Amino acid sequence: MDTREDRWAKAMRAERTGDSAAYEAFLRAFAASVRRIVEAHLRYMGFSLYEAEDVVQEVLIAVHSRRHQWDTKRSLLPWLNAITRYKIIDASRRLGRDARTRVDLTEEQWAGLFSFEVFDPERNPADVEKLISALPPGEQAAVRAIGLEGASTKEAAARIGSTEGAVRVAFHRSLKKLMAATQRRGPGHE
Amino acid sequence: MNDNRQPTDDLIRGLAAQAGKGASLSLRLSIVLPVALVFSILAATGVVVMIAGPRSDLMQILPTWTFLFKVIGMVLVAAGGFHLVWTVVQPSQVPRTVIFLAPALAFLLTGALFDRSGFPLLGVHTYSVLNCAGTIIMASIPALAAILSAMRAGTPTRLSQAGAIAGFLAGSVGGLAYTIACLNDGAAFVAVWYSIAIACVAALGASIGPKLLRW
Repeated sequence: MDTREDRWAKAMRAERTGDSAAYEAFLRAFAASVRRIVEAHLRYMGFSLYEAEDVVQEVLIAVHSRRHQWDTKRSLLPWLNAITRYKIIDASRRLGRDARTRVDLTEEQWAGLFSFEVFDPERNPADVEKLISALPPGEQAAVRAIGLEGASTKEAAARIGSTEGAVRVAFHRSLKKLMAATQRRGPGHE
Repeated sequence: MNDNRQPTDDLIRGLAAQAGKGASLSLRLSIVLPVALVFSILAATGVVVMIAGPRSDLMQILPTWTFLFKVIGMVLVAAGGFHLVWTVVQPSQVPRTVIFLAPALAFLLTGALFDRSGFPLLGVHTYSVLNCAGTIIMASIPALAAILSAMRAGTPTRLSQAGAIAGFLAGSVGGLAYTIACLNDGAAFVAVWYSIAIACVAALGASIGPKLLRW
C-alpha cells in the first residue's frame, strides 16, 4: 500500500538518516496540502488570503523544529494534523486581534459615527461613483467587479482579462485609496 | 505561479538542507518529565513540612489502613495524571482522561462510600478543611511550575487542557505530600477535600496553561 501516511512517514524516517531530497519532497507535498487547508480556513473566517503563506511557513517550521519528537512507531498524519491545527488556530487568533485593532476607532471617531451623513454609500451612490472614477482604470475595473457587483476574484480576473493575483492586488490597493479618500472627505462634510 | 510562494520554496530548501541534523539538541521528554515529577514530589514534601510539619504520630500510623488509603489514593491519582501529561504533550495522542483516572476514582469512591471510621466530613478541627485544601494547593505550586516547564519540551496542542492536566498532576502530588501531615483519617474527608484541592490546582493550570505553554 502506498498511502500518503506511508509515503510521508518513509520520508520523515529518511530525513533522520540525512536524506535531504526525500525530506524536501515531503515538505513540498506537505506544504501544498497545508496551503489548501489554510486558504480554505482563512476564506471561511473572512480573512485575506495574503496571510496564507505566512501561516504555511509557520506550520513548516513547527514541524521541522519538532520533527525528532515524532515517534516513528506511531502514525505520522495525526501528529501533523495536530500541529497544523494548532498553528492555524494560533494564526487566526492573531489575525482576529489585528483585525480588531485595525477597525478600532478613537473615542472621537466613535462619537462621530453617525455624523458622516454626506458620505453614506447606501444613500449616495453618486459619491461612491465619484470616488471610484478617480482611481486608475485597472483598479476601477477591479473595484466595480468585486466590490460593487460581488464577483469572485476568479470571475473578475476572467472579465478584466488579467490574473487573479493582479486583480486581488488592484482591489486591495483601491480599497486603501478609497478609505483614505473617505477619511479626507468625511470630517470636512460634517 | 503565485509570486508569494517563492519565500516558502526558499524556506523548504533551507529546511531540507538540515535533514539529519539537530537531533541531539531536542530535550527528550522521557527524561524531562520523570525528572520534573521527582522534583515535584520533593518540593511538595518540603512545602508541607514547612507549613504543617509531619504529624507527631506519623511513625505509628504508617502501617494503618487509614494512612495507606490516603497514600494509595493519591498515588493512583498521580499515576493517572502523569500518564495524561505524557499523552497531552504528544500531538498524535489523545488523552483518554476517563480511562486513566478510573482506578483512582473507583478507589477513592469505594473508600468514601464504605467509610465507617465515623470521622466527620468537615474534619476534626474547625479549620481542617481550610488547612487541608490550603496546604495541598500551596504544596502544588512549585510542582505545577516544574511540570509546566517540563511540558514545554513536548508539543502540547490544546493548551488549556494541557494546563489543566499539569495542574491535576501537581495537585495530586501536593495531596500525596500532604498525607504525612493530615490529621483527618476519614476516607470520605480525603475523597472529598483532597479532590476539591486538586480540582482547584487543575483550574489554576487551565487558566495559566495557554500563556505558559504557547510555542
